[in-house]
Amino acid sequence: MMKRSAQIGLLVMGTLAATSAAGYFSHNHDQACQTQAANNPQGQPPQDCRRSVWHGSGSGSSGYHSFYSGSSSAQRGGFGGFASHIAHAFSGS
Amino acid sequence: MQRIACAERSDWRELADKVGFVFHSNDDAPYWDESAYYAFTLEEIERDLEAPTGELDGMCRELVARAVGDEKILRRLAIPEAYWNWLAASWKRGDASLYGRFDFRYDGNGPAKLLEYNADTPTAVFETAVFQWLWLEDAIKRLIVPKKADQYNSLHESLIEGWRTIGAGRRLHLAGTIDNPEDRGTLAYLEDCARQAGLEIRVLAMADIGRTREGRFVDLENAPIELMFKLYPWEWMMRDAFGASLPGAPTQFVEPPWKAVLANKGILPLLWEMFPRHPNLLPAYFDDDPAAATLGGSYVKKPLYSREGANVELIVSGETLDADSGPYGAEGYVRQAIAPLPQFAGNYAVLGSWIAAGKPCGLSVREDASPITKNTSRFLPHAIVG
Repeated sequence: MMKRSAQIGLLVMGTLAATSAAGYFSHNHDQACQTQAANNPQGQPPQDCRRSVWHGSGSGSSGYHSFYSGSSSAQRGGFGGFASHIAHAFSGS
Repeated sequence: MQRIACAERSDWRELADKVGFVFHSNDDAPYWDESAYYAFTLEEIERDLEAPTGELDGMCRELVARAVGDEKILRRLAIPEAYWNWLAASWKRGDASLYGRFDFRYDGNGPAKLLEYNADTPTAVFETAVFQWLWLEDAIKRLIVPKKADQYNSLHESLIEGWRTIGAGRRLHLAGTIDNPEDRGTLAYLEDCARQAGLEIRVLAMADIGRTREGRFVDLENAPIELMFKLYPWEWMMRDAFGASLPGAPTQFVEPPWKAVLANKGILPLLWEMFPRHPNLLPAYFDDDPAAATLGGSYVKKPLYSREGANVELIVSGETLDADSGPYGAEGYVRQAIAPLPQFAGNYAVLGSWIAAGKPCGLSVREDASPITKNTSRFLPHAIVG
C-alpha cells in the first residue's frame, strides 16, 4: 500500500526554485525593503536589507517599540519584538 | 523499527541547495543526515503512529472545547485574560487549522507515547514533506533502499489540500522572522504549497506588519491583511506591542487563535486528567500540583512555553541529569513521567508525526547524542520496508 504518490515531489521543485530563500527573498523582499528604506525618516537603512528596515533603528529602549509610520497612517514594528528577547530567536518548534 | 546505516549520496548538498533546502547544515555539522535511515513496517506506521495521531488530534480538540469555556484552565495555561474571549470565538467559528506535529517516544514495541504537541509553529516541514521524499526516490534508484520501499508521507499533498480549503482564490500573507534561514525556508515552502492551492501570496517580516488607526493589520503597501499565516508563536504575538489589537482585528490567522491552547505544555497534564491511563499518554502534572509527587524524584520538567527543548530538564532521583538552557519558564512548568528515548547506534531518536488538513499524514525522525531533542538535532529520512 503506497502512502503517497511518487509524482508529487516534482511539482514542488519547479516552483520552489523561484520562491526559495535564494530566489524570492533575495529579490522580492529586498526590493520592498529598499523601497521602504528610501523613505525611512529614522535614519539610514541597515546594511543587510533582508532584516526589517526598522530593526534597531528606533530611539526607544528596545528599538522595536518606537513605531515608524512612514507616509501612511499605519504604525509598524509592533510585532517581532518578543523574538529579540529570546536567545534562540527561532520561532519554530 | 530499525536504524539502517547506508551510503550518503555524494551530491546531496547540491541537491538540497537546488530545491531551496539551504538550512541543511548547522555550522559545520549536518542537520540533514542520510548516513542512515529508519526502517518501519507498514503495521508499525498504521497501527502505532498514524492511528494514534488521529486519536490524539481528536482528544486535543476535546480539550480545547473544554478550555475555552473554563477560566480556570485558561488561567492555568497562563494565557492572558485579554485574549480569552477571542480564543473562544475562534474555536466557536471553527477557524481552520493547517497543520501540527506530535512528538512521540517510540521504538517499535508498545504504544507510541506523546512527548509534546507542536501545534502552533511546527518546523522541519520542508525536509519532511519534500526532501526526504526526494531522498526515497533517489535511494530506490541508487539501490540504497529496497526497490519496493515506501514512505509514510503525504504531508505535501495534505498541505495543499489544507490551503485549498482555507482560502483558494484569496490573498494570503505569510509572516515570520525571515532573517532566520530556517524560518525563511519554511515560509518559502508553505508559500509554494499555498500557490499550488490557488492562493495569491505576499510574504513579509513580522516587524513589517502595519497597524492602522482603526486597528487593522496591513502589509508594506498598506493592503489589508485579511488572511495571514504566521510562523511566530501566539504567546509571543500576545506579548508584542501590537498584541492588544489582535482581538479586534478583522484578520483570519493560520494557525488559528485557539491553537494557543494546544501550543502550551500545560495540555500534557490536562490530557492526562481527561484521559487517564490512555496508552499514548504519559503521566503528567503541573509542577505545583501535589499529585506531581506521584512521579517521585524522576521526571522531565518542561516550561509551559518552550521551543526546541529549551529549558527542559531531565531529572533522575532528584538530580538534573541533562538540561538545555534557554529563556523560558517564567509562566511555570509541568512534570512528565520519563519515557527514555530509544537509542539506536548510540543516538537518541524521537519521532514527529504530522497532521495536516485534519489528517495524519507524515513522519519525521530526529536524532541527538543527548536525550533532549534540540534545534540542532539531526534529521534522518525513513522508509517503509515491510
